[in-house]
Amino acid sequence: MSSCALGLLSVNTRVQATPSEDSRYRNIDAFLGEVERRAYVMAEMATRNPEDALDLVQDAMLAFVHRYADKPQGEWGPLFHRVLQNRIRDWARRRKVRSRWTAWLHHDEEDAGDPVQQAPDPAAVPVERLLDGDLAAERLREAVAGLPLRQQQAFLLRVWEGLDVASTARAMGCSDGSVKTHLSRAMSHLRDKLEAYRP
Amino acid sequence: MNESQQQRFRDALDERARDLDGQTLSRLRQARAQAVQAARPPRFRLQPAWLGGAAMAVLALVAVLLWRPMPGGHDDLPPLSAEAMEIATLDLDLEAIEELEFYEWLSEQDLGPAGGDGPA
Repeated sequence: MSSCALGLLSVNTRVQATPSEDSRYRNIDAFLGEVERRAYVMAEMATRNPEDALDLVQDAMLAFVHRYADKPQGEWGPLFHRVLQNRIRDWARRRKVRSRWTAWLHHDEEDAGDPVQQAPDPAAVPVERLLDGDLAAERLREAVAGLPLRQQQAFLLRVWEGLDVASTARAMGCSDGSVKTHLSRAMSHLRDKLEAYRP
Repeated sequence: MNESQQQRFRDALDERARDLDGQTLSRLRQARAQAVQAARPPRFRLQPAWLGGAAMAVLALVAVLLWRPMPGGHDDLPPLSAEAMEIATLDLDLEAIEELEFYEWLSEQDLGPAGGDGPA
């Protein structure tokens, strides 16, 4: 066997996964499988667009693997959410810029603050009669989706994902105090929504 | 918001995550598979030493190709004779070459009739 062939053989041997590495890949796969649905729902809440939500989750998975897969497994949850929330925030910024341009191009700024369009739908089914059914759940999800982005992130990470304040702050890239403020406003907003549903 | 109200929101969100449609779940699985694949090292990773070796091999190949005599090039010239080679390798004074005719005349004068410095 020539020295070149021996060299190639040694290279291939070097990149073969060891049992511990195989276990690591399985752990990454299991972790992503565990968080992917909730990550998608969070992205869907923020974007209200299934395609955008899928793109954001895919980007977040790849970025997480590249940057943080070597970190201890116990830190993966907050780190993954940090990547995902950053992606969502970037998406929101891009959309804001795009919507400004679109509004300017179509000269429809005068319609943006139309109080008639922003008024509640009078034909909507009273929620007090719907809270036991699927539509009630849909209403609750809609209320969360209607929160401003930072409040929505704070609510989903703290109340749904169960992260503590410090981990939520890391994921959102802000201070603990900001998390508490955003969460308090989100709770107040959602409570008002629930009260509005009462007869 | 009390705990019961928070739980109602949690249940609604859990329900959404649980009841995702098949196409969305398939896309999520694909995304996950891509991410895990990205975590694995490539089958063949180019090492700096290999890159250096490859560059040297390419340079050597180019040198060999350029070194080969071009058809209709210098091979058509006749080989230099021994005298020409001797002249070519001599350390000649350029001024002497420029005044070659003078030196040729001078040598003829030296080899002229004996006993005289030239015609009187």
